Amino acid sequence: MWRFLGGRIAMGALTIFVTTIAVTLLIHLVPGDPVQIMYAQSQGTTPEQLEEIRHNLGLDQPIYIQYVRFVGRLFQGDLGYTIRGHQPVLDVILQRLPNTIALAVAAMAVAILIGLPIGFFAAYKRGTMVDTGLMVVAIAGVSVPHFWLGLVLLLFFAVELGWLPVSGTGPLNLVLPAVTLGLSNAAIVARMTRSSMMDIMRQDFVRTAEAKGLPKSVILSRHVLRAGLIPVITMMGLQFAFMMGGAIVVENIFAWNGVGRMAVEAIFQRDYPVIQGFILTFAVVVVFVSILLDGVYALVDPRIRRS
Amino acid sequence: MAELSGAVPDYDHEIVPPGRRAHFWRRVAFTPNGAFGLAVVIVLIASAGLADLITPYSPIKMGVGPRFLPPNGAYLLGTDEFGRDLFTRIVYGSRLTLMIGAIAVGISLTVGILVGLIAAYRGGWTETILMRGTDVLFSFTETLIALACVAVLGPSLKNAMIAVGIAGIPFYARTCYSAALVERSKPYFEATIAAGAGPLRLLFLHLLPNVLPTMIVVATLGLSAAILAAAGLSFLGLGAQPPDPEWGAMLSGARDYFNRAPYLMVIPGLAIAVTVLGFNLLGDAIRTALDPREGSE
Amino acid sequence: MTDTPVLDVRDLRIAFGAGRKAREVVHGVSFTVQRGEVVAIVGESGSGKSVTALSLMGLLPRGHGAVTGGSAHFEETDLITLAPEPLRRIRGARIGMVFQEPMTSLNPVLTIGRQMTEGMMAHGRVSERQAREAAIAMLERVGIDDGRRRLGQYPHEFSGGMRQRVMIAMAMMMKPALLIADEPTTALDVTIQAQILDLMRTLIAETGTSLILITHDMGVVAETADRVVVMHDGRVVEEADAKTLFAMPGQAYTRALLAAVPRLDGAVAGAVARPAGREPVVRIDSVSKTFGGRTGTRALDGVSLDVMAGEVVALVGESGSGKSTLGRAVARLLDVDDGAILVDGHNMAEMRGATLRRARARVQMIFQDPYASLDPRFSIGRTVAEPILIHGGGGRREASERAAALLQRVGLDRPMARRFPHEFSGGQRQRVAIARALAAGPKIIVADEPTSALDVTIQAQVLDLLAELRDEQGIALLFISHDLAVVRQISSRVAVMRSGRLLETGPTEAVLGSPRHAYTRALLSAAPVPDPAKRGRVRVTVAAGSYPDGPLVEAAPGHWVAS
Repeated sequence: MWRFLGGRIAMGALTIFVTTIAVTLLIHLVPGDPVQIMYAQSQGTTPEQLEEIRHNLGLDQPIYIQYVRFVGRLFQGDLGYTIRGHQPVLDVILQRLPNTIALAVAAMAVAILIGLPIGFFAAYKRGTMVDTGLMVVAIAGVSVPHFWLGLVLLLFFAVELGWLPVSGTGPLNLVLPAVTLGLSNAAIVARMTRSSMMDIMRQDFVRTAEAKGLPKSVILSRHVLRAGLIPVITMMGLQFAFMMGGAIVVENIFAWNGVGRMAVEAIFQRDYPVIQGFILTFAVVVVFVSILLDGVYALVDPRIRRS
Repeated sequence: MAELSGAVPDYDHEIVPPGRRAHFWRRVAFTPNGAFGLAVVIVLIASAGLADLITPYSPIKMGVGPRFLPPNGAYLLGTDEFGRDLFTRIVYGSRLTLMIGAIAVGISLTVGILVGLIAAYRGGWTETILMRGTDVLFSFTETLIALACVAVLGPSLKNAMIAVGIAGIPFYARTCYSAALVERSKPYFEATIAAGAGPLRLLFLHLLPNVLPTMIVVATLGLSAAILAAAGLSFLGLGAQPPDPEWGAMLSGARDYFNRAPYLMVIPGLAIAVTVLGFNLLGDAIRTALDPREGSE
Repeated sequence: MTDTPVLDVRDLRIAFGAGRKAREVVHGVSFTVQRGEVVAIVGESGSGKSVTALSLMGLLPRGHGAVTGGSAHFEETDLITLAPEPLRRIRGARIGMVFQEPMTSLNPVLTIGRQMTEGMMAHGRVSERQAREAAIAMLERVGIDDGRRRLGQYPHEFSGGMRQRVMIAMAMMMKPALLIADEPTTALDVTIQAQILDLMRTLIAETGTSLILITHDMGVVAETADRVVVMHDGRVVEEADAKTLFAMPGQAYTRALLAAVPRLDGAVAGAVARPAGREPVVRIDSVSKTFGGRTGTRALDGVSLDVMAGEVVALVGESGSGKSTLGRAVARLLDVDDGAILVDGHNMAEMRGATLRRARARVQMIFQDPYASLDPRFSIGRTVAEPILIHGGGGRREASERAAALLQRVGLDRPMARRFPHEFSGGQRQRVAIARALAAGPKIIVADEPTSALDVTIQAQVLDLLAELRDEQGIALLFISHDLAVVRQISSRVAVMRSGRLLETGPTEAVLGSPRHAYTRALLSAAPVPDPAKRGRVRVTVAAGSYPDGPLVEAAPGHWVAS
């Protein structure tokens, strides 16, 4: 088990390492002069000033020095300063990150609460009209763009009915974005759960359980569900990453003050330090959550726990 | 009979799988899902190809009609904030949608297949580097990769297509890799090695044709994901820019008027949803037709 | 035995599919099982034996098959017409079942204790404690000590043979009136198989349970059954008590089936005629291979072996012996860590690139799984032409002409060359694989369990074909097999392996007739003999590490034994 977790942690460290390199290179991949592009929107910057900024950002140094510096500052919790407003990037991110995580967690809860039972039920009823119907609904669910679903929900529940606030960042404001993001992912969870459960139901040990004369409910709850949930847990890390990715769009619809909204603004403003900070944060959060889930997985699956 | 287990006693070849490959397309088209998917795709291709014949208006020129006219006889789906015919814009939008899907999936598929095939075939360090790299990228999710690409390249329709294409590579590479790994370990492949076949022969004559069916299914399903992702970027303003009749961008523009003209928002969204649903159902039907384990006959 | 049978199956009919697509696969099968009796249902694949067994338990896979007629009276109740709930109460409690695959028949995420006790708790009013005590006692009965600790373990902590013991314990714990065992030893090594069969016999004798043994293996039948039901194409061909059936088979099909079974006694049908050449075509020189890094498992440990031109050398051993690894190393499908493999005097292990690819033509391979052996996207003519094309044996037309000739040689009509693998049976595919191997013009063919996946009658045909080719083309064969009786049919020399070491090698008659090594003797005594009269032989067993596995010493001319 420790070997398994060690491998996962090493993989996570590798991911973050690769991210730091990618993030350093990012600015250099921009076609043209990044400093000029960054400051194109601010008026009256002279070439001398641009040169000074370039120096301050360390962009006149060889790239490996830039990388070493970047990592060095990273260990001091310094992600640089925003181009607009000159605030510490870390502060800007930390201020918004809890909102994004709250959204992602709430959406994941919605997705699991809806998707898991539907997937399990469809697998149980496999091959029947119920199964076909549920899966068509699930495919339809995957097909509806969440940015559109969000708008429609907004139009209906906030504008028409006035039940929920249109935009902003507060507990009640969380409902619509979480439902939007959760619903479109519920379909994915349902399909995943169904195929995992169906794989289990095909296993020889389910036939063994039937041959033992166990009641159907016991076979389902003890043999099928337990074994079938394990692969689902392993997929949850990826699901969480999807939620974080989806949050970028959903935050923009509902003006939810998270890092996703910040990132899109930063792209428009060519605020590269913010973009770098965002990508790095995203990687760290995703890696952390997936290691956490790997830990859960290792505890749940005896083949790993006892190896 | 048995209530739960679907275990088939396969060691006793007593259950004959349905005739392989035979009537493959008929099996796809004669399922409700496959039929709907095929129909959507055909309509989409027709509207993209015949856009100029289908509608007399220009998708871009403003003031073709009055502004904010709800759907009516002359303007089937109404007019937008600049007095353009919405139906015309939707029809021309199908061109962009198909192009985006084809180009993005083309990029993901080509690079993904190459990476996956080479990693599976070569093994050793090549495999470790390629697949670990793919794993790292995969854990970032497509949205973030696409966003990072757009951040580098700048917002435009072309860049959005490239970004979505690049973002899809890890998934295609992984799928191709695992399919190729299965084929590579089969005796027929080893027999071909033992016969003295060179790497190109092994890769392109034996490995590729055997992973291609899997990849075609993935690409069909991937088209819908790519269309969704690109529409999402355009919706955020990071992809197609006005006045392009791109559905995501149209949806974004309609946000400002959704009190006044909700149909401006509903219709492009429906167009995206139906298109994506079509590709999803088609891909699903193809997969079911290829996989005898799915479904229940 | 009493007069009322425990199980009375009459005119059982089973069909796959529904409506117009329905296809009957079991056409009116009848048989009875008396109290305490062991009835073997034997047949080749497609005979309907497994489906028959599953249908009795109401376990036919949903959507794949249904009973369409007949009855199966078990202790006065008809299992076929019984409602699901009463049938469930019989399953496990009155009729137990053991399946083929011990590795997948237990739930990997539940403890052995949970899986052993849940049946008893579902059927009877016993407490968990009582069920656990019963399970511990039962584990001891099947030869698993330290039951209390074992109950807390998970299936992956048990070996294949141990899991099958658990499965048997689980089924026998309820003291069922009838046990149905569906190929219970097919997935196991021959020494483990012997132990499991002995165990099952002892247990049912103690409890008076009847046993239905489903198997394809005539040896297993002869070792275990009181009465035999021979099935073919969904029908009962013959039913007789075991001694009569083996001594005087009544039906032509049974006679053919018995004649096809390779035996360790009696005369060999196609005695080895051709004398082996004096030049070794393959010289394996102290080859070692370790999988999984430095701490990994040693698959080959200093193995040396020569194969002379035109000679058939059999490599025998159980799973994990390293025999397949050695075969693959000879074909250079894997690289060895140490040692040399000289083919025709050239060290294949040192070759690279184009030189290696050209040299590969000298060693060809035939694999166990006929279904995965052929590229599904190539016509069989194209598959056989592939080696000819690779080595530039003329143009496309010439290559396909030669391919067609080779196909004809292995017994497939020329027009078949255009067909695709999925249109062929397992035996036919294996013929195609042989033709492909011949196409490269090899000096030696490595055949890795080439007949293990085939029915016994097909196996006999493929063995005959290989023997013919050996005699007419002078190609050497390295024949890898777990089955000593098969080996006896075709090989002139035998090499016995265990845990990556060569333990005994010598002429076939010498090694199988007067084995010198304890492990060879154990293997021979465990092999099931298709003759009920020879039942109850004394089994020789050897524990791991208790036998010599040092360098080979010549015990008799050409007969080498580990010291």
